[in-house]
Amino acid sequence: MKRWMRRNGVALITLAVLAPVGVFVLSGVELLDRAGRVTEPVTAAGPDEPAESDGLSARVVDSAEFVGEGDGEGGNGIPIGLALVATLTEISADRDVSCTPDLTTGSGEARRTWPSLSAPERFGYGYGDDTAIACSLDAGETIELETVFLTPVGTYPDSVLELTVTSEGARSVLRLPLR
Amino acid sequence: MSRRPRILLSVVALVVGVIAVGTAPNGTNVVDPFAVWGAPGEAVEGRVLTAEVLGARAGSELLIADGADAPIDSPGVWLVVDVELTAAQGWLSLSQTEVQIDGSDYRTSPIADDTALLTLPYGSDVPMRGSLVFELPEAAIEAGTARLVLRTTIDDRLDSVPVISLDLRELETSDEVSVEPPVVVSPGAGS
Repeated sequence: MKRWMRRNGVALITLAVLAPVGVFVLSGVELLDRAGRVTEPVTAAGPDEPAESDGLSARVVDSAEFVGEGDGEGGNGIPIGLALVATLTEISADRDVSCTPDLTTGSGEARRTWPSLSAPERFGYGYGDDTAIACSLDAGETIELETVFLTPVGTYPDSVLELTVTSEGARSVLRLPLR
Repeated sequence: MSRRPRILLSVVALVVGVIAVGTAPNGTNVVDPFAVWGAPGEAVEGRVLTAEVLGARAGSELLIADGADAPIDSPGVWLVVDVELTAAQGWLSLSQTEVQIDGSDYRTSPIADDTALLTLPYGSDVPMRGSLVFELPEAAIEAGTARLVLRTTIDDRLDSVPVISLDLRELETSDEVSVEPPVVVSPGAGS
């Protein structure tokens, strides 16, 4: 055995090193590349606190869930098993910014997202009179942004509002708890 | 070890090596997506998309609801596949979806872009029903079978992709096939 090890030891050690390296080169590089794609800095706010980043401040001031009752007689136009989640967010900026709102739950592979609806009236929802429905602010401006999302029933209690803020080419994310 | 077993061992090692090299994935397909196979009527679950084929129709004229008043002629055949799709994680585009027949890939037709179900805009776990539209040469339909490959991105390396077999001999055929706008349906409504 000792003699065999003396003759083949170097080859064995070389194999033990090269085999994992080969596997990594074939698939690991690919996986690492994917994992590194999320790069925006995230600022999370506590309950009832505004989130602030790069001269922008945002706070959810109200939210509600409207559970679907179907299209039939007495229904509300929202499919059964789904719900509309509406949020009202106070946003102020000290420079020109725009943002994209998403409702999210979880993180990593368990992360789920819902973009805001462009036409919530399709599901029987009407916007308020004095709210903004697009997140685009001039320097010094304050708006109340009204956003609506279509989600499965039961999403609302675990969800947070994420604003992806774009300013001068840079992107950052504000994560706001609902209230 | 005597000489004969050593030679035998070397030959076996060489044969194993040749088989390993011959069957090893090459540089491209080592990162190919994983196909999750299914048949019409089954919910086929990929990592980011669950898909069910509800039916498939073919015809030489395409009538797009909310689109042009007159049907659109094709020198070949319109293949309309009715589907229910649910995104697992968030907004999805289906624009890379294709039908594979006899080694040829056919992308969804741009003619029905505004009416076909090419995006799942509402996000996670909100099912939608609608149609995917393909324009095919007549000879393709006569091939007998097709694969509907529901790709959601150009870069689906190492990801899972629902692939549903279609029996083209069982297609509902008529002169005119119509496409209705997609609708949101209740989760678990079934076919």
